[in-house]
Amino acid sequence: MENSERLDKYLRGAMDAEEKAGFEAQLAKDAELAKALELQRDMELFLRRNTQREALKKQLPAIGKDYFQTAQGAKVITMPRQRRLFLAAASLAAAIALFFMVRWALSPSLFESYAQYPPLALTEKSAGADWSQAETAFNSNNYAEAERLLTQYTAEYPSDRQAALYLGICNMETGKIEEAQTAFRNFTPEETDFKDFADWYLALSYLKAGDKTGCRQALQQLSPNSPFQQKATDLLQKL
Amino acid sequence: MPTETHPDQQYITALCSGNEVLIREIYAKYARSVQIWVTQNNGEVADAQDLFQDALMAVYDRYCGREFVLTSSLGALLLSICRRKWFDRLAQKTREEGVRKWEENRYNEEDSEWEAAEASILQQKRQECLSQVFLLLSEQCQKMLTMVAAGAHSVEQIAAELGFANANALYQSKHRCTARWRQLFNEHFKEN
Repeated sequence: MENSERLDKYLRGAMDAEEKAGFEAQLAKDAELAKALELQRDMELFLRRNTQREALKKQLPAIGKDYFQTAQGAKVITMPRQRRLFLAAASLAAAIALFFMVRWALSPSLFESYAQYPPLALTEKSAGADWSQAETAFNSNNYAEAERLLTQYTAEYPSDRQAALYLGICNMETGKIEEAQTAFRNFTPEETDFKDFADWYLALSYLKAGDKTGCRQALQQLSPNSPFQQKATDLLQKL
Repeated sequence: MPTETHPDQQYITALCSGNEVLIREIYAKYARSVQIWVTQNNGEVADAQDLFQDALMAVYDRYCGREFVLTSSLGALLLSICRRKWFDRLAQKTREEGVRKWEENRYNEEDSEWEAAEASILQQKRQECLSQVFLLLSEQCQKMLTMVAAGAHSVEQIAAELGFANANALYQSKHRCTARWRQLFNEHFKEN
């Protein structure tokens, strides 16, 4: 049995008394094994609390800003009337700016406002296995799960170009921009049903990555007959 | 050396569970002293805030999920971690001066707090490294290891969900993923 399996078995409490005693005796004299056990414990700890750890990492800065301030103990000084008026005007301007910033922050991003996809309907094509889970995942915007299932699906049905297109969308939505772009570029002009979609999504992938220049170039290369021409014109103006 | 549990243990328990009310109490009680110390040692308020939350994460990594008894003040431990981290940062900027101050500081700390601070920082480095190299594993490995550790589903359910023939095939794959993760950690981890 390999060390990894023995360590795992030991930490799971799955060794019988004799095996455990033997293992602990070996631990006492084998520094490398003890080190490996410590690492295995840390790995398991990481896996158990990783989600909570990441949440705490995000929680602390939000709390911290209430307790670390530069202007602590500032004195109150009466200001001349002109200065008070100026500050009141400045505060009003700041409040208006803040209002628009909050509105901007709450509004969907440019990418989100264009990233709309026709529902995925794979079951029409599948003969054996039930791939409806992939459809459900994609159509409910659970792109990570849809990506996992579509990866399996495309391995089984490599010639299904619709699935390949939607897998590219999942790659894009989960931030794997290079994979997505490779998938979209793989469509040839002969694949008339999908080419215009793939070209449009290629442009969106640049937008998702924050590459406005790439997005503009991809939009300008859309076919003149593309059904996305109007959207492309709108998006180019906003860029 | 005192062996009784310090009342501040409740704060670490709160940190482990993300209890915001008590985490705010930690900040209210101990943030000010860290801010004063950092600003008196060539730092800005923003440095103090950054160090403080970094120190809290080190405490989390050292204690959460393990059995422990806190025998001294959390405030003293946090300040000790912040000092150590601050001198390390100074040492990176101006190596000579930073090291000199670090050495001065080294002998002014109470040994037990210094050791606890060192242990916390080491544990934080290990966890950070594990986190970084975990992302180098395949998505399948990441998902499988996370699902098995979470314990929310039986091994058979996980095997079915991830497309393994049976639980044994899943275990074999888990061991391969764990071995690769360990190898990556050993290649990347630097204690100092």
